[in-house]
Amino acid sequence: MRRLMILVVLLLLAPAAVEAQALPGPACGPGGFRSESNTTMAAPSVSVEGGNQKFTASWQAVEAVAGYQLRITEGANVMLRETSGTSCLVSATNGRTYTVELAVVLADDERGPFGPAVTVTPAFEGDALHLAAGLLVVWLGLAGYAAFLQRQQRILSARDEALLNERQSPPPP
Amino acid sequence: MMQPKASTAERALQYAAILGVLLLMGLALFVAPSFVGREGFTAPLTWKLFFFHVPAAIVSFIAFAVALVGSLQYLRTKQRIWDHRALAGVEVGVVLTVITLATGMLWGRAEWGLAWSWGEAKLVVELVLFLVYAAYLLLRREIHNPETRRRVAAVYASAGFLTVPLVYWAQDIWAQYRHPVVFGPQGGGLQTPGVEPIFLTGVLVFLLVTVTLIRWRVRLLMLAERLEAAK
Repeated sequence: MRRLMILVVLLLLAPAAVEAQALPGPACGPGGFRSESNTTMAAPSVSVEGGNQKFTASWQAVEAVAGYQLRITEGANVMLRETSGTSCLVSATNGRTYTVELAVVLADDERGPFGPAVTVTPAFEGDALHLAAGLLVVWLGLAGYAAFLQRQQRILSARDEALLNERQSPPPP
Repeated sequence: MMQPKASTAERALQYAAILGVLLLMGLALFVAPSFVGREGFTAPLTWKLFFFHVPAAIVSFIAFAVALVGSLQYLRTKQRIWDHRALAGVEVGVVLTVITLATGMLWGRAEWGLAWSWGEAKLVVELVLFLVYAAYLLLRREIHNPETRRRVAAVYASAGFLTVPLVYWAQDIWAQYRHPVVFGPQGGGLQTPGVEPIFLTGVLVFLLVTVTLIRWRVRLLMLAERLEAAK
């Protein structure tokens, strides 16, 4: 019981320093429809890195372009994002797979063709670990108390046996 | 006369309880619907702790109710068996409350990024519930006269039970910001197909575990009392 109390106090104190994780907003703005230019201007290859409820797409800068347009597809949903920088932070749902394509935006408000698609599935990395810790707490809590009872039973049984032996042994002459 | 060893029925209950907990873990891990990719779920795996967190909380209330009945009956009849039942109920209730708090904090840390919030009435009142009954156990250790100990503990446990409805209705009494409401007009998370049967299994398993542990503890307390009397 004392161990359980220590455990709960530690569990209460340890996470006190944990701050709420604010979900960062998108670092690049929404984009609109742009017609594809006849001038072929290949998009740089895009790389994506998944996070918790977000992912970041980044690429190498290309000279003489007005900006970049990202086409993000998730199932039937399509989102367009635009930025003049070389990366874009996108809010997303954990466990869903997003396909990301990049095109350059030209000065005449047109865009180049979309480059090769890459996919990303955002996830909370500690999810399985938290579940495992929870199951361990459940098991330790119940098994710990059962072990305490088992120990008590052993002690009491030994005392009971000793008492029985004491009564059965013949009185001293 | 109280036997030092568990009876066959008690042994069977103990094995059934162990199997029940393993079954519940299996159901939660492999059968419960996956919330991966569902809007609004940051930690769809940690969500499965719901099948332990809520049943443990509900059944802890039942264990504390056993303590209430035991305490009131002791005050009325002065029979020690009722005091044993009250003590066993509190001990098991405290273990279940620890499980409720710990699993809730782990889920909160994964889902909200925040293990604890003093602004959440449900969390704070649950902690108060734990402290009230932990204090009961400490109180019993500090009073050396057995008769006084039993009487004071019975009065304390009867009054302490007031915290239980407070936990249940905390979300109605105080504004709740984050803690989900399981039993409410919106149906909490129970409306998802496949969730309710496993949730009910969870309640039954925790009930079985609680009955087993309380019976076991009462038997040991009675045995200890007999040995004390035989000294």
